[in-house]
Amino acid sequence: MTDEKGSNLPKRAEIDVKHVILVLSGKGGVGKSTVSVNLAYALSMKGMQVGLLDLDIHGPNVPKMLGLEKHQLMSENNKIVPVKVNENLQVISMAFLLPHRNSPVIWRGPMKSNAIRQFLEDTAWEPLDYLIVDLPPGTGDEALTIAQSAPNIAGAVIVTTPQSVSTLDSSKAITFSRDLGMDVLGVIENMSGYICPSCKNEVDIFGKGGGEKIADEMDVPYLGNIPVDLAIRQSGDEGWAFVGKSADSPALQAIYAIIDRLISQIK
Amino acid sequence: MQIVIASGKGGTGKTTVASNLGFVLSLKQKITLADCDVEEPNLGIFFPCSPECRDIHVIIPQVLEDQCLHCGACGEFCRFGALTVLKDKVLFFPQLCHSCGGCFRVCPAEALEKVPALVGEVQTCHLTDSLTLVTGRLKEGDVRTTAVIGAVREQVKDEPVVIIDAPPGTACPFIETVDDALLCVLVTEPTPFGLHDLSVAVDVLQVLKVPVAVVINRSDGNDSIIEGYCSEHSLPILMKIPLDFTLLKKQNAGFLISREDPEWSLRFSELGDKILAHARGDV
Amino acid sequence: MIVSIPSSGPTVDSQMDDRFGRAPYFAFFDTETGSSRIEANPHAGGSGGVGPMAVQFLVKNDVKVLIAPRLGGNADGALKASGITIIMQNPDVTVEAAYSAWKKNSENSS
Repeated sequence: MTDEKGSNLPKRAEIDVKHVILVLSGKGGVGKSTVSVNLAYALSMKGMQVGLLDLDIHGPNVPKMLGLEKHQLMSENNKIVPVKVNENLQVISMAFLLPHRNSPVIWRGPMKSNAIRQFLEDTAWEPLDYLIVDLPPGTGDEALTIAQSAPNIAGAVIVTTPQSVSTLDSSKAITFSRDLGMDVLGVIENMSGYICPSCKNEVDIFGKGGGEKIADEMDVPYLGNIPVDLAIRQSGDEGWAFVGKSADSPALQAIYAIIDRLISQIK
Repeated sequence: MQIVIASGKGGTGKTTVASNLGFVLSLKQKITLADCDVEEPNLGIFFPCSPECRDIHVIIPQVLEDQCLHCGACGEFCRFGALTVLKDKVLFFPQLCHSCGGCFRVCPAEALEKVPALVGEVQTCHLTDSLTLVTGRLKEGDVRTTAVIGAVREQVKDEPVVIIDAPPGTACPFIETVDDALLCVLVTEPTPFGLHDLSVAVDVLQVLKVPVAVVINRSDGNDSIIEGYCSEHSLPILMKIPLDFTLLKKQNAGFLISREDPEWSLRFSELGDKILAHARGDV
Repeated sequence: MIVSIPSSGPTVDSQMDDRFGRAPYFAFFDTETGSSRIEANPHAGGSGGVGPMAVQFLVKNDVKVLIAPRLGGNADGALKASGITIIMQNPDVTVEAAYSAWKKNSENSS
């Protein structure tokens, strides 16, 4: 499904980015946005130029999770100026264009596809090392459009939680990625075990190992698991990146390990 | 027992089948014929009579400006854009209203009055002691087809055997007609167009969980295009009505072929028995 | 006062959209503060009645002037009743340009 074969697909956007990473999930609520935000932020802390593209048009969460809710999109020289989180991280999201925080947007496929292309092509991205794309749950218009429009797609990262209903849905996301000719860079199991702060016992409240199992079954890399950490939820609610501000913890170590494995997949 | 005669495709012979079936079956038992093709009801052409008519209304809102707070709740709620709340008044677009009743519920000031709007009428003809024709007729230019169809179905719902002539197509009017029916008989023709539209109708009926049987009309002996599809989907073909110019001439002049020709009377009687057996589950 | 223009893209440099009810975005210009913002048109993808819904959206945003290329029947009626001034404009310009042209015109005539 490439346009190199001279098919009828629209041309890919011409933006200066080395690696585009799509963050997908089958089910909602597994932590895609959390993973996208922290992945992007961590890469930016390592000195990479990172773009974070929030393509959840109906429920855009990224700006809230980074404390950017009050921002608006500006333009310069006919291009959209992304919102800067720090020197190395730029963000675009539909949330910047929503009238009120809780406004729903009743948009259909072609309109969403147009908006996605605009966010890709009409944005004044600085030359990027990575563009992290946060997608809505499932395998709908948004994922299709970005898979067809973005250049230099390194592949897809699939986020799941341990339980079977979630891994079942994530297997669909894996198949979807393959059908679109994308590499599956790996599976991340989020909410994987909870360590009680008082007794330090680990309880697998959502189960454990489902992510690794599905990765094995579908023959894709397993990038690792992130335990439930109260600070992760807090960071999302309060609008700061967990990896930016946290004391060392198993969750933080887990995220860094995942990122290292992910980057090595790309190289 | 509600049996719907439908097709998906227009012009396949729904009304021909429904009218003859209804007549022939009424010779043996009490039959109600219901015309749910409310935009263009044709059954009555075969059964002229002076009907009893009753108007059908839907409820739409009327804004009581004196009570209205212009809070915007009704406008925000309405999915159809029928209510637009301005700074000092509320606009209502009746052609967009779907009579869902939601605006009345969300108004905090009881500023919306329920008023009736005429959408059509239902005409009832007691043709004989054992045959009644109920026709739905939508007001020309109105779009609230399902309201009139619903009124027809409501009127006939307790009758022992109802043969319902469905509208063409597979959209809301068809769905409103066929939902919850005991059996849907799809009349098709042995052409690619017949097949295509048949398959669309079958898909819809599968979702609605209404059992399906097929009648091939205008058969020329070469019906494999439909037979193949029916076999694949386990759909019984109850009858093949041959392409017959005598029938066409009679029906198109507004005469019931089964009333004039004993052979056709027998054919439709057989079809009727098969349909009833199928509807009862005796197959 | 607030002036609104339907936009095909998320910035004021985007081309004006040639629709009203189904325009993906609306630009809002404040003539007093000089500020501008773009918002997604929430009902653009609706199956019907989008004209009146868009008018309601403008009314909620206190719009006094609408610069638009063409309007559907329902939208036209709703706008006239709302008291919003309608300025017709060919959509072959950017939103910013359309606003500037209108501003200059209205300043010249007053």
